[in-house]
Amino acid sequence: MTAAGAAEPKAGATAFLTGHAHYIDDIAPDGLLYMAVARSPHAHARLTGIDLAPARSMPGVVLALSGADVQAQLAPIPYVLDPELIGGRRATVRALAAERVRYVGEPVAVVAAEDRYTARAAARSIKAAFEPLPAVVTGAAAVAPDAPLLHEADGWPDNILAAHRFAAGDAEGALAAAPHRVRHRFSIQRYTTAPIEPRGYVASWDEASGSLTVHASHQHPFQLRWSLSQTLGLPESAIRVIVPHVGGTFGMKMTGYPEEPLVCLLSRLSRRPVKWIESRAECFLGGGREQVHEVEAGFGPDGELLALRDDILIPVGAAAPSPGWRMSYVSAAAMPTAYRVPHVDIRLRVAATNAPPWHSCRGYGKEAPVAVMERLMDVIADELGLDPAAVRHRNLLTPAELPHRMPAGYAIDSGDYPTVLDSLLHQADYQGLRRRQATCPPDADWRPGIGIAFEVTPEGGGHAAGKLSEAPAGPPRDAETATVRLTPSGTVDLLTGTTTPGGGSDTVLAGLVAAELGIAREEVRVIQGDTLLCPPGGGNSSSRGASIGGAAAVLAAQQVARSLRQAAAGPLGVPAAAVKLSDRAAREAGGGSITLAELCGLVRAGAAVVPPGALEATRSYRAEQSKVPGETEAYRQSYPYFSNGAYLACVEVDCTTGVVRVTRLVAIHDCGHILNQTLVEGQLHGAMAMGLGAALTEHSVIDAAGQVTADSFKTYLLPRADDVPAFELWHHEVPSPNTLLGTKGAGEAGLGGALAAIANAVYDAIGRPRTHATTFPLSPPEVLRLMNAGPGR
Amino acid sequence: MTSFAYHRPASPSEAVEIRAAYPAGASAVIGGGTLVVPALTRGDVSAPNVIDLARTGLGYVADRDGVPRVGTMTSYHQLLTSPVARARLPLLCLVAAGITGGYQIRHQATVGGALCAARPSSDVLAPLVALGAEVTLKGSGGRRSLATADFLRDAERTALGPAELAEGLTFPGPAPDRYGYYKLKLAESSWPIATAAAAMWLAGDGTVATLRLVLGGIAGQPVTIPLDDIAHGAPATTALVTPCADRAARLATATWADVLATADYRQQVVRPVARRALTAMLNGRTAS
Repeated sequence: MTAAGAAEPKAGATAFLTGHAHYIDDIAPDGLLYMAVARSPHAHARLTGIDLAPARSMPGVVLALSGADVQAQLAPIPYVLDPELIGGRRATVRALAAERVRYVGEPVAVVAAEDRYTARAAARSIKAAFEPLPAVVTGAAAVAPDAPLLHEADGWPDNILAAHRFAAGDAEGALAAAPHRVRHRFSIQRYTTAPIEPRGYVASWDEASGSLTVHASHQHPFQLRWSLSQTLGLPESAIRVIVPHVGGTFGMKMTGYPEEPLVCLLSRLSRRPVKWIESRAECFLGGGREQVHEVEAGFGPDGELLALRDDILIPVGAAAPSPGWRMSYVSAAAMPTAYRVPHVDIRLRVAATNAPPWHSCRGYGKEAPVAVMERLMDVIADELGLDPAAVRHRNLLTPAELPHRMPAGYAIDSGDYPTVLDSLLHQADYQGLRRRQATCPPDADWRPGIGIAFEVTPEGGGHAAGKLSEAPAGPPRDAETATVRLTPSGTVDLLTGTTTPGGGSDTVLAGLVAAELGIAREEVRVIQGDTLLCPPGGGNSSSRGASIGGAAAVLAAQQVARSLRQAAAGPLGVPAAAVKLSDRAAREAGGGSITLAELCGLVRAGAAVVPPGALEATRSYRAEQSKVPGETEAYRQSYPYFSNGAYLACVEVDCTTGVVRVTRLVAIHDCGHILNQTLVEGQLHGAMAMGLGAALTEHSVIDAAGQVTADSFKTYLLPRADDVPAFELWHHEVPSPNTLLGTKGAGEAGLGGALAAIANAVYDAIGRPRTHATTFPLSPPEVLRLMNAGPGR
Repeated sequence: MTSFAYHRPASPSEAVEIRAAYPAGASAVIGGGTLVVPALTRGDVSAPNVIDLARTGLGYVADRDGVPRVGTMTSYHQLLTSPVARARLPLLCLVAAGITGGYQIRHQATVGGALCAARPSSDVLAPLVALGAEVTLKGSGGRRSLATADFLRDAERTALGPAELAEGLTFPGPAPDRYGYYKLKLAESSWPIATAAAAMWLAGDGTVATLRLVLGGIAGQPVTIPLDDIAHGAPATTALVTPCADRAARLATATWADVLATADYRQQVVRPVARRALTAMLNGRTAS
């Protein structure tokens, strides 16, 4: 196994700490114009007229365009993931609305001006005339029988974007026969990602060559290049996308936003570079993850879960080509998470509404089923008077049952869930916590609560699942590609199709290559996020950067290392197999050595015997798919590896105000083989803090008229340092059989686990309220409402 | 429109002249700018004239013949580092130390700015009322003084005339012998949802002479709870907490709602918020 450095910090961190790292808004080519967008104030309306004259007459305004103006120049934005692949419906979405708007904030006009203030003022001066139409803001309203139709022009007979059913066994019969049954509604709020750096693009059209360079704060440069080529009608070879340092992505910086082609079109028309930087209020328009689960569960007297029925409704906002809506599929397909449930019937309806479209959000739908199943485990424990840990132990899949095929078709590859749970209970001193909790005086203002949760996170890219006999195959899981290139003087470049959102996967890749070549991590220059220089790849998403991208880098580095050993064999007078690479040199056991620089010099001079091009290698890697013993059916390729973890939260609930303080967050995490513990834990810290916000305060509030009212950091409440306790993390490494390095990904896990553990701790503190619903976020008003509902028994 | 004339008067008189030159609503006044500048940036507020008080010399804390005076441009940091404020206005210092936003906001934001913005969720309003602070308003015709409670008319509405400038605050009475403050937030980043400021003056025999309890955040303006019949002459002990908090819960009517909390929630938390401010005061310690 490759040792890449167990706990090394992010490479090049000083530039970030000292403000020298360059982000998208630092890019300012000569002649730069600034774009601003005029947006719909209505959730649903006919656009009957638009007056650009005031904007065009403002000094400093270079261009002002309406939807009608750009119709001929911009094709509809293509879908990144085609809904029809999973039996869903497509809508025609253009960068600027010309006739009808379907959400507050939908772009209706765009301006380019000499400075950003003039651009904003010009956008604000644009007066559009609207005839308001009845809007559907909630999922329930969207699926009501008499609901106004949103996408009838694309042939939709209702507002259902997609519907799915994932079943195993006979849920109805098993529910009827179960000794115990419970019904519970789980409502999860719309919330967002809020990276410190919002979206931004700088497009530079070169008239002489007819080519476009686009700097973008983005996750997926190659997808963006493809999408722009479709919308702008340019060959991909005429477009170069470059990603500078990125201040967080969290799913939000994927492809398919209207501003992407708009900024390019303005550059092409004005023949000047054009920049667009999203404002914070614009950034808060987006969101995701909202859903309602109506669950009925049947279980035995010892907590054994016998049957599960779940009717899921997910409102994804207006139809959009960016991949956010697809999180809905994953939320249903990842049920019932880490548990063995013989009879399952899951129905999913995905509804288009007049809310702003979903964007992808960290967790990508995987966090919601964890919240549902983990709350359900506690509800069952409450019903039976059992300890929540015991109910989980009764139902968790064991190592002997893995790989395990889930009802929708995902396959869990590896893990030791019972041991991970036991390890959590031990490390957190669960029994001691329970004993101390029992000593809390009953009249105390602040009541202690303890919650646990078990999380599985499908990773490595997937979404679509199911038997091939029932569904089209779809594309195979994307490979990642890496090139390792030695210069004649012995310096090393790694070119990769992955990108980093700021979390440090580039550091891991450099360490992996360095280990193969016997050099220091700092000696590997990582080149990424440039469609002209780098091999095509998947950017960053689904915890693939280190697991898939790292494996490709290792394979390429191993090939170069073989060439170096072969080249050194002659000079060192030993067979290539006896050459070792370490400390920047090729060495043999007798003490002879030749430095890497000398060796590369020999190759350059033709004095070492190697095949042509030996100092450069490009390799691709694709993860394996789990093979479930005894299966004869073929399945769609999907998430190749699942990380898992057990989480414990301690809270104190102010029973007079409903305020919740989280006092401990403990996790045992299995992301397979760990390549860099510092960076894995950095990802976990961020995800767990995000889970804390999701559990308690983060809420993209949209009012009855479809206006996003939580549009600043004073109304959308992210956790701050004082809201978050010190994290207590341990690792339990069970390598994945499906990846070269045994890794399972570490970019998303922790969100669902922390979310569910904190929710369970809050319910534990307030003592089984008389309710058949769990409604997130558990904000102080909601907690106080639950407490006033009185105890359940 | 984002274009506006920027005025930076060098004195209070000049500020008043500029204010007087434009009709009501045609000028936006910037104190520290922590509320108005973001609102201008977002386009939530627009005014053809922006008047920045940074150079008016109104950032000071002074002792004028035994009466503490706080200039309208005094930042929370200036309060915290002023010996006069620490000795005579400890309740205000306690509030200033807990202003959400940390060092940058405490250096930038001003007491006068928060007062004139008159947002129900501001920390500083209820304590100013509890301390009996008076606002000095300067117009072209001269000065007038108003009790803070009268200056604050409703949410984001004050008695400030279109040609007037809030020059500063005076605190005519003696400093309270005991004080307490509690604010309820939904999370660290949240505006206060409900606040309670408590201040108490003792008689020579150690009994309570005056006890003031003022609630913020629950209505358009701070709500003063009459407590004389309970507190006057009573021993200054925590036995006062329950009757006073019960009175607050009975008399105060929460009407203010925003995206963070309904009026109903604010009503429910009146009692615990009042109780915690009173308890902090009567224990001689400060909470929150």
